[in-house]
Amino acid sequence: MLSAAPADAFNHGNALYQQGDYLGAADAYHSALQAGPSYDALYNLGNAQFKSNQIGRAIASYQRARYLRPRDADLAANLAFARAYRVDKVPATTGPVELLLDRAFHLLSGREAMLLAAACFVLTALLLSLLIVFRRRALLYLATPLFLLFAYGALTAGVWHAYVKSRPAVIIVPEVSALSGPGEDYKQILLAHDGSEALVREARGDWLLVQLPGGAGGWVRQEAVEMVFP
Amino acid sequence: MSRVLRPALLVALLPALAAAGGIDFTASVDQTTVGLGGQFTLTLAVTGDDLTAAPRPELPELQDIDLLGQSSSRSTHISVINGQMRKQATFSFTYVLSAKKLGPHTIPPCKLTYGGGEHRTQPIGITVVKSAPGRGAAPGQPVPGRAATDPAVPVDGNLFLTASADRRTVRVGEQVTLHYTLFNRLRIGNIGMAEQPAYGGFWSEKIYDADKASFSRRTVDGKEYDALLVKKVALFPMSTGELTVKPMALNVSVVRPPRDFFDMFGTAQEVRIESKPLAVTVLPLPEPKPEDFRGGVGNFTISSSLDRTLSENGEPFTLTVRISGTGNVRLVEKPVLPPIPGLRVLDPEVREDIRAAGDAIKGTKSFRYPMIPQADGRYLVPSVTMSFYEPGSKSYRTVSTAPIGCTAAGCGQAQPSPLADVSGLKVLGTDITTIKPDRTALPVERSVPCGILAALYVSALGLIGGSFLLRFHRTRLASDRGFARLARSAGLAKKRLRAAESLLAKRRYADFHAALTQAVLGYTGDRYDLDTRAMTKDQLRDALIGRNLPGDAVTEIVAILDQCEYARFAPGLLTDTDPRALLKRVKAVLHRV
Repeated sequence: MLSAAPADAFNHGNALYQQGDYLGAADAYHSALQAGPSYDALYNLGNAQFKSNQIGRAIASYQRARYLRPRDADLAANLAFARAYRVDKVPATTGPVELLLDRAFHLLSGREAMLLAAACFVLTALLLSLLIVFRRRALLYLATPLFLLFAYGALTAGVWHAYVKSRPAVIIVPEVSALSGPGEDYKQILLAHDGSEALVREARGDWLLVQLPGGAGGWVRQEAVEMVFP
Repeated sequence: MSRVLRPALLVALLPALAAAGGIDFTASVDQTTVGLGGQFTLTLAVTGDDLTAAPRPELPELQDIDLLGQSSSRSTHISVINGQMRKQATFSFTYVLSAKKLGPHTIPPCKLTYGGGEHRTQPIGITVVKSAPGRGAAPGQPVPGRAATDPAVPVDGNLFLTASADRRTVRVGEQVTLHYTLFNRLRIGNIGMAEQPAYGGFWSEKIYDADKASFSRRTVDGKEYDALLVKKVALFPMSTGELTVKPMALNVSVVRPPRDFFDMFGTAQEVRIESKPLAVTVLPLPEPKPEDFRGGVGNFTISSSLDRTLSENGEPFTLTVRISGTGNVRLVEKPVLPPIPGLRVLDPEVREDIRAAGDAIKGTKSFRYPMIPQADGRYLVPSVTMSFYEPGSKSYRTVSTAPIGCTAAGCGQAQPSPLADVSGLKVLGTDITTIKPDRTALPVERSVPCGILAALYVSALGLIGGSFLLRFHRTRLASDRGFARLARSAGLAKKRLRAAESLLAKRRYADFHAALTQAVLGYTGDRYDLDTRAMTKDQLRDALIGRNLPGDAVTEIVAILDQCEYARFAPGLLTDTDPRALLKRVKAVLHRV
């Protein structure tokens, strides 16, 4: 499968998925992804992992797909569906304003936001240049919305960048004990289950300090966690 | 521990006194009666004072005996006799042989060429019989291993390591208990592990490892030995066929018998002894296997429990299924849970508590299944069954758990949706949205190159900067007359010179010179913001010198203006009449200005 074209591997994965061989399908989608990130392959990989009871890995795949195409309703539904299957229930702490802002700044993907910001900046600069030279008020009226679009694109790109830099990760083992330090001898402070999303705050050797929603966290072994953006 | 050293039973030591050179060259075999096809060793020893090297002896042609392998070693013995130190070295060449014909055989003399002389050993006679005495032990009986032989240490028959199994024919997954026992009739010291046995095809569980030398008396073939149980291990075959346990090896420090009065305490020498490989025949489990057979072979019980029977806020239940008993409990796979409508069952977490109890392996393997309620209601976790093979009754047995009831509340899905109320539709379940369809090409979504983005931003900023410069330039042009004349001077001069060239081409010399005059006066006026048309030549000269124009350039400008004037108004007075040369001079002087 490694030598097959990405589309062939993807289609092979679809065939295996239809036959119920979800683990085989996941392998095929992984092969398709070796050529580079592809939204469809990541989405289908998430489905195959979910069907193989790998809730955490499925959530990680859906998160990667969301980074590429955040407006896909199917993806949003599947991510929410997979999250509902987690053992650890996350209390909803986001208010309506926060939710609205979150949606607003995740309408575009990071790539789209960067391109929009760059294009709007160039156009704004062009209009400003004409305004400086020719002093026409109409140019100002045209440049203002373009500048606002640039600001939106830049903020959205910044939000995605901050998300990637926050090192999101997902627990991928049925149950893991988070310890108070990077070693087996430390005290167990909480139990996390497959699919729990966390942020990696620090890494020491084979141990990662993860912070779960709500602020609680602890040290877990690296193999218990999959980084969304390795 | 202490024990009188005894001569070896099977070793025949036949020394051959060296004729010359101060060395002893001897040959010996570890047994004079050998089994057909069995292995025995021939050792050729070269001993001499201050011997630093010895050539390899020549082995004679052996009739009906195969050479399987050979090795060599060196040992040194130091003794003091009458105040004189004697350092004696022995080079031993060991050959592993196998006889392939019954009856008496003779190993002819071996030859050694050393120090210009030739040394030979005595011939050795051996007898090959159908089966070697003491070999091929029955199941449950110890199988003596092979020991590295040193002619000075009577190891053979006095010190050996056995590997014995409680059974030689088992089924897949059935326990075989292996004992490694050291039998000894010598004075021995330290015992160390040289090589752990390899259990290819078996899953092994340690039962006992000797941590101190605790000997007991045992009788083997009518001889009494000190026996030490070195290791006991439980093996569980994982595949069918003839599986072989590779030998275990020990290093034993043996005290050699004294050679003379000054060697009254003997000398300790380390000897490596090995157990023999042990073959176990593994049969497959009887067919047909029950559907819920999970690989267990032994005697097991199964039980289950829930961590809670009421989930108030949709918290998951944890169902723990425990499989306990004797046998290959570590190899038992997870039981299959029947589907429970409304409960999502996740993969279990597995915990093991397994230990040796006597010769058996006992323990519990727990499977903890998280079960997430999907809707409020009462659920029944059905009975979980598992079958295993019981070697005692040679049949499969099935055990099962009791069903457990539980209740979930607060899952938020207890009430049917309004859509179901109005339209009568009944929502049977939900699932993830299906996969994306096949593609002819899979587009890769690469990130935007940062270099291109940076170039775009820098270009845009440069555009704004350029527009500011342009704006400033235009403002100055409008407000600063001198700057405006300076800015356009070069363009105007070029235009005028082109006009002059055109007139020259048409041979309109008067107009040509007028155009040159205009070009020179116009350019100098524009460059220095002078009203040159209203100036006399002297005023022009003074004004240009006053603006730091070099004197020769000023003189050239005035000369050009004079020449143009003569050409236009008094051509007869003109000495230099070449208009092209004049045009060149004009271009040169304007360039300097």
